[in-house]
Order: sequence, then structure tokens, then C-alpha cells
Amino acid sequence: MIRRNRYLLIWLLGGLAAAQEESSTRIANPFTSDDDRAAGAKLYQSQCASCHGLDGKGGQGTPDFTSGQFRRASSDEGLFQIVAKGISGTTMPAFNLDGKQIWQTVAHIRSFSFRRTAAASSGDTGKGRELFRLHKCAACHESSAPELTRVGRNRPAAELRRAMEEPDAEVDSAWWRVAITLRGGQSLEGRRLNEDTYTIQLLDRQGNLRSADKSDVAQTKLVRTSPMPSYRGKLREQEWNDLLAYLISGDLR
Amino acid sequence: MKAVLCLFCTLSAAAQVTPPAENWPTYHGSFFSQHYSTLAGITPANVGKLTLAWTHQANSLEKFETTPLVIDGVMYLTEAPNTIVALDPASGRPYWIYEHKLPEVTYPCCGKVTRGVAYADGLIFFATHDAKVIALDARTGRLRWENTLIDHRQGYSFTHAPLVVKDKVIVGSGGGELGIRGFLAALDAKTGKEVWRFQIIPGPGEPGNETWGGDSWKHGGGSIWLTGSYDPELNLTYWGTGNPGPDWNPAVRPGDNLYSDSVLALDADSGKLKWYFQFTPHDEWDWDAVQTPVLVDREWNGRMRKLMFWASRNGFFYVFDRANGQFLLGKEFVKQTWAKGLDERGRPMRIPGMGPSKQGTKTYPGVQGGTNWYAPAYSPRTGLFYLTAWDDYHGTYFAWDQQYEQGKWYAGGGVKAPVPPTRRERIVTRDTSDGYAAVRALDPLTGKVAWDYKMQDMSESGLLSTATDLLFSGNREGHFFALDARSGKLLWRRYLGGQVIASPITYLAAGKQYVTIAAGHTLFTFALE
Repeated sequence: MIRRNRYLLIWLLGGLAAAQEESSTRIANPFTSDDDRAAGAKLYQSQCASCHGLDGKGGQGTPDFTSGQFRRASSDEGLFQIVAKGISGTTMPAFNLDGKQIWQTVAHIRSFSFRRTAAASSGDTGKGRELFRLHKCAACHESSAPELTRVGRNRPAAELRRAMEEPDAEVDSAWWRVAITLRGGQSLEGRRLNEDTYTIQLLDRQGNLRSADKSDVAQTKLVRTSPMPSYRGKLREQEWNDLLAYLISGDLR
Repeated sequence: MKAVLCLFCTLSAAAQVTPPAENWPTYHGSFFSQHYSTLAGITPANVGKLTLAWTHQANSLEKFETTPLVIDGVMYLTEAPNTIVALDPASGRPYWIYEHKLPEVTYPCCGKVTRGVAYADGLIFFATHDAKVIALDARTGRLRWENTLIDHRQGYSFTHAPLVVKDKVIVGSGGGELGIRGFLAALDAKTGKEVWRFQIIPGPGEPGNETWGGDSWKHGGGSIWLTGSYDPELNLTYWGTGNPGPDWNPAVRPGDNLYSDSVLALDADSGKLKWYFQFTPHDEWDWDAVQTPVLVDREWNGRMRKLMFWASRNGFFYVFDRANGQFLLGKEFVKQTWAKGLDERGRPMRIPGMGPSKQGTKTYPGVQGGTNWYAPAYSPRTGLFYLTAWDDYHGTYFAWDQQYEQGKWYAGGGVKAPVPPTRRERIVTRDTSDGYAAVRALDPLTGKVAWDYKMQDMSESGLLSTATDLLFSGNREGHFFALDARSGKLLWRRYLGGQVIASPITYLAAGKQYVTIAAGHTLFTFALE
């Protein structure tokens, strides 16, 4: 218990300092050695993996730790706080671990995020930018298709390439499209944003946000495939590396 | 109207079997837990005119799982983590608020939730996250007594509304994911002194201990996190028990693991076990039998019997003779892939290889089961049993080794599923191919579906049936609605914008009928204009 309090104190003081002097003074995780990570991996399996998955990719509505992006925390301190206190309004409880154990768990959670840059290190981002232009990627990806600025941070290069070679292989339901015919004969078509028992919300082709009451709908067609063309065989190996290097750079201006 | 209602106002304890209609006197509405009201002011003809009367905002961002009581013109509700509010049920204005002070760390597994209170003889009874039972003066909110039943730091937490039976307050403990050894305790309502305790996981020398390999009984789970029922004539109180621990690594606990995943029938005076039935012996999926024991007196094969209806998380619907526990009927009510069926005594005939594994095993139903703790309802008018079902829904179950450590998570595995188990997604783009929820009406004499009201997303809402054949429910999408209890036809709905994880209630205040439901972080109360 004493140990727990000591680390809690460090954490609290760190938080105060951070509030006063910006993030540069934030306390870093003091337990990040290989031994700490190994201890953290054990703790993660016993305390976290039931809901978050042994692979860190989430289990049932829980976040994907391999992205390295955290919705509710931006620092190790933030992660520490979540493990120590839980998250209100969710099933995430406070965990009965001492401070060192929490830091070790945080170290393990951090280690899930993969190394991305190495995968396409042979690519030339400038040439990748040219390919991006040549193939008019922005025509869709700046409007109706997924935004790509951070895509290289969230997904490894091999996964990105697969998404371009086999766009229909895995289409997140957030990108499904819908074609609706209303009873009056009018039709609505676009990206399906949300749906419940009684209504559907969509972004139509003209860029308008629309909400349809299902009682007014005569027919609904859900399109689970991607409108993106496959690029399999359309790029040479070096071009793939260039394009991936550009996507991973995160500098898509 | 009053005169008609008082036909039902029988004497003493039996009053709560068919309670005075103006009140909602217990968590489940009555000792029989039918979630049925004899109020008839709101009907299928006028329910379309139901309008918002008042709201109450909870001072908490936790899941709002309260099902309030209404006692003689006062509503008592709970807010997370451990707050009790007494308010005017006609206007929503508060009379008093009691905040139980908790230690910094408490151990509810999956959210600092609290579900309700109990009332008897001018006292409000409440069970806390730090394993205390408290009694408050119902008029003033002042503490009358407090009793700590166990050291909460071992993983125990109380989240359900107590049940008052005669002069006793009965409570049990959550903690099935933290290696507790579950129990039910009865306290003297006047003093708080413990009168009896029933250990749900039997110790050495007690019957049932032989169903646990080695020392595994010590952390065998068997939690209680939902209020039970009571039959005054039999003087039996019925409770559904939680999963065996660790949840997903059954290898460490060979045997049937009594009395996990069971219904217990206990003598209300002594706490002695009269009978039990185990729904999922040697559970590998976390399918707690934490459901509402619904008690119904009804003809069965030509003679009147004291029945119990039970839709289990394991996907099967059961009928018992509640006097002796005799298994009368069992039938699956959702898609399931773990059992070939039930044998003549109701024991599941398991399909090998459907339990958790290192690489993951896809099994129907998923971890939330075919239904869960959301209150079902019964209508003596329609004779139908209504429940919130999760159908065509699976989980991928994983097992791994785990050592027990006091107060820590002790689950021995995990589950992956495309559908979040107990959380509303604010944006939902999933379709129903990974599962859907339905308000499902079963004919309890056959277990067959009489009608189905399907929803796009899941639902964790309880149900309420009325003497005018209305059936109220809500869902995770944030809707609250009324169906025709005979046909399942939608009669009225309102979008409340927050998920429903509680049961609707109805009551009279100043002669007017109200319907109340918690959604999001708000309590909504409706009435006719």
C-alpha cells in the first residue's frame, strides 16, 4: 500500500507540474526496461487481456492498442491514471495494482504499437507524392473516402498495400454505402453514417447530411464493397515503396 | 378505480405478490418478479399521447442502471456510485439525497453501477460497493444502521437492490471476475445484525464441495448481483448465482462447480437450501445465471402448479416447479452451438470442443448470452413470458493460465466479439449480421416464440407489462417504446438519446399514472397530458 501511494504521489506531482509548465515536464514512465516490459506483459495478460485481447487489438468494443493512438490519454501519465482509476461510464474498472505494476503495464501497452517507418524505408516520399497525384487519390480521399493523413500511423505498410490491392477484402462498416428508395419515389444514396431501428443517417453524393425515417423507406440497398479500384499489378515494386513511404510520412499536403 | 384495485390488495406479505397498484414496492415490482402492473390508465388507445412529465439528471457519468421504487408518494432511486435520492414522483423534485462515502478503490468488475434499494416499515435498505448494508429513515434519509459483511478489498462489491422478506434484508456480493467466494446473507431489518449466511461455493465437508477439484472452491466465484424473488406460501426465496471463477479457464476447477450458474431456493427464515438447479454445470463461457426468477401460479398439464420461468444466459428457457425444483421444460430460445440439447433432468448435453482455447473458439451465444440480467416480464392476461434476447450473436473465447491474487482480476481468459457487450456506441454502422436484439414473447408452456420485436442494435433494457396489455422497453440505441403485449406491434416510441440499462416502472401519483425509465444519465418520467 505504501508503495502504491509513493508512485501515486509521483504521478500526482507530475500531473501538477505538467499543468503548470506544459508537457515538457511531464513525468516519464520510470519503468521501461526489458524486465519491466516483461513484468508488464504478465500483468497485462492477467489483468487486461480479458477485454483488450492478448494481442492488444481490442476485444469487444475496446480500443486497438497497436495503433499507438489512445482516445482517452495522450501520455504515459494519462494511461497510468486510467489503469489506476478506471473510466467513468464504461466497463473499465480501477485496478488494484501498485504504482510500479501500473507503470510496467503501461510500458507493455506502449510496446504494442508497431514500427512503421522501416517497412517502406526504401521508398522516396517525393516520388510517392507524384504517384498519389497521378492516380488522383485525393479526388476521393479528400472528400468521401477515408482521410489518409494519419493512416500510416494506424496501420502497418503491408496492411496498407493489401487495402490498395484488395479494397474489398475488409471494408469497415463505417464505410459502407447505402441506396435508399423512399415511398414517394425519391432516392437517396451515399455513405451510411449511422443506423438504428427506426432511422438511417447518411452523407449523400452531393455532400448533404440526410436522415431518413425507415417508415418512409420503400427499399434499402446496403453496399459493403469499396468503390476504390484495385491497384494490384498497376504499380512496380519501387513505386509501391514510394507510395507507402509517402502515406507513412503523414505529410500529405 | 381504487375499488377495483383493492380486490388485489390481499393481506400482509401476500400483498407484495400482487402489490397495491399505485406503488412500485420492490426492485422487480413484486415478490413474484413479474414486472407486471395492474394499473390501467395508460392503454393501447391512448399510449400515443404519452408525453414527458419530468426528468431527473443523475450526478454521475457512470452507467445509470437504477430501477426506482415508489412507496406511498415517494420515489427512491440510486445513482452511481452509491447515492440514494428520494423525490416527488409527480414532479421529480428531490426531498433528500444520501451519498454513501466510499474508499478510493472499490471493486465492481465492470462499472461503478448500482441498481436500486429496498423498502420496509419506514426504512430504505441499500448495499454498497464497500460491502456494507445500510438502512436509512425513508422520511429523512438519515442513517439508522450500517453493517459491513466482508472485507471488500478481497474483490467483493454489492451492486444489486436488497430483497426484504418479512423481517430480514437479503443481499449477496458481486466479484465473479475477482476470485471471490460468493454468499447470500440475511440481516435483521431493525438492527442490521446478520441472521444467516449461505455460502454459494460450499467449503470442505459441505455438500457440493466435491464438485470442485482441489482448492479451486476457495476462489470459485458464484456471485450475486441481481435481486431475487420470494414465495410467501412456501417461504422460499429464489436467487440466481454467477459464474464460476476463473471465468474462462475451467481446467483449474474440474467438476460441476456448484452452486455457480444456479438458481437457489432458500428457506427465508434459516437460509437453508431447499433445492437448486444448475443451468450450466462447469461453465466455460461466463454465463452467469444472474436472471430474474419469475414466479407464476398457473395450470401445467391440467393441474395448478407453482411455476418458475427462467430464460438463462446460456440460451435456454426453463420451467420449474418452484416448490421442489422439478425440471418441467427446457428449450433453446436463441441460436446456440454449445449443447445438443437438455436431457430429461434439464442438464445440458455438451458438444465437445466449444469451450475457450488458446487460439480462440467461436461459440454461440457470445459472452452476454442469449439474455442476461435485464428483467423479463410476465403478463397473467396474455400468459406470455417476455424477454430481451440477443440472437445470432457469438463470441470467440480464449483461455490462459492465471494465478489468483487477492483483489485482482481472476478470469483466466477473455472474449473477442464484434458486438460490444455492455456499452453503447454513439455511432453504429454494424448491421445485424453479427447479432441483434429482440423483445421476444415466449409461450411458457412450450417455449415457442409467440412474436418477436427486432431491433437494429443490442438492448440491455428490462421490460414492464401492464393490465392493459402494454409492454414497455428500451434499448441501447436510446429508444424507449411501448408494444402491444399480444402482438408485438409498436404503439409508441421516444428517442431519449442515451442507452437504457434498467427496467421501466409504472405507478400512480396524485391519481395519475406515470411510467419511468433511466436512459443515459437521466431518469425520464412520462404521463398522459
